[in-house]
Amino acid sequence: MAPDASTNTAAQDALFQKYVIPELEVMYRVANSITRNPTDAEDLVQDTLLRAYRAIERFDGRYPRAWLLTIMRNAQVNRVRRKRPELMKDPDETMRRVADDSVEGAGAEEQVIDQEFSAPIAQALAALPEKFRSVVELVDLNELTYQEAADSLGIPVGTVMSRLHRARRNIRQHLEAFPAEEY
Amino acid sequence: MAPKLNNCREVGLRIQSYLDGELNSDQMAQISAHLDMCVDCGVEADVFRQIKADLASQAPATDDAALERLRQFSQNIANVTLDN
Ligand SMILES: [Zn+2]
Repeated sequence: MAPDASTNTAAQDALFQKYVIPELEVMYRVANSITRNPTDAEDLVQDTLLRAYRAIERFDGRYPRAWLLTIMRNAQVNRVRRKRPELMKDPDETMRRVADDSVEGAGAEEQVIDQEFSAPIAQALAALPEKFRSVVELVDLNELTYQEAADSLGIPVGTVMSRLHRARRNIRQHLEAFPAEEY
Repeated sequence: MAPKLNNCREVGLRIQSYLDGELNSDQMAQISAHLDMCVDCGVEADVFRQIKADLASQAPATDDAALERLRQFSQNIANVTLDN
């Protein structure tokens, strides 16, 4: 779990407390948007914390949030890479995954049913394709800047902007087509 | 000098970036001035301002238990030297 004790220094601890701990909540929120699963999100944050601790003395102290979100993005890329080869190697594992996916599929169906009773804005958000929804979640729900969202997703700032603006125009159309019912 | 953003098309293209506070201060000021005098663009801004507010209200509640576990995990990383 913890890194080699002999490499711990008081300076490292102090920098970690100063730059990393205040961003814990944002990190967890972003991790939830990226992984779409609370357990994976917690895992991803732990992974990010360990990486940040190891790298903290090389960090220049500017934009800690952007720095951490970039680390998280890299950690996530590695996690996805680590998972994929299993699919090819172990047929049993593949079958288990297919089974898991179908369970998740049922969950998604329930979510859709839930959406029918939820606010039009929630429906409009849920109706967005994944790559548009994640940008909206990062900027409008989690209050990240365009640059921070770009760092989290590993895409250019211009792409964040065009996806976000298009997503909101889409939401607007959705709201105009399905306005809130008045009682 | 950069051209002034004083026509509805130019403003319309930047209205979301404006509401996100993602323009430079010069452009922010120019668009703000335009919105004060142009009803159409003002309405357009209100629509997106409302969408942003509605979306913000969709933020999931903080999972305090998970955050507490992560805080503990962080302390464990940072306090290894103190523990031995
Ligand atoms: Zn105008």
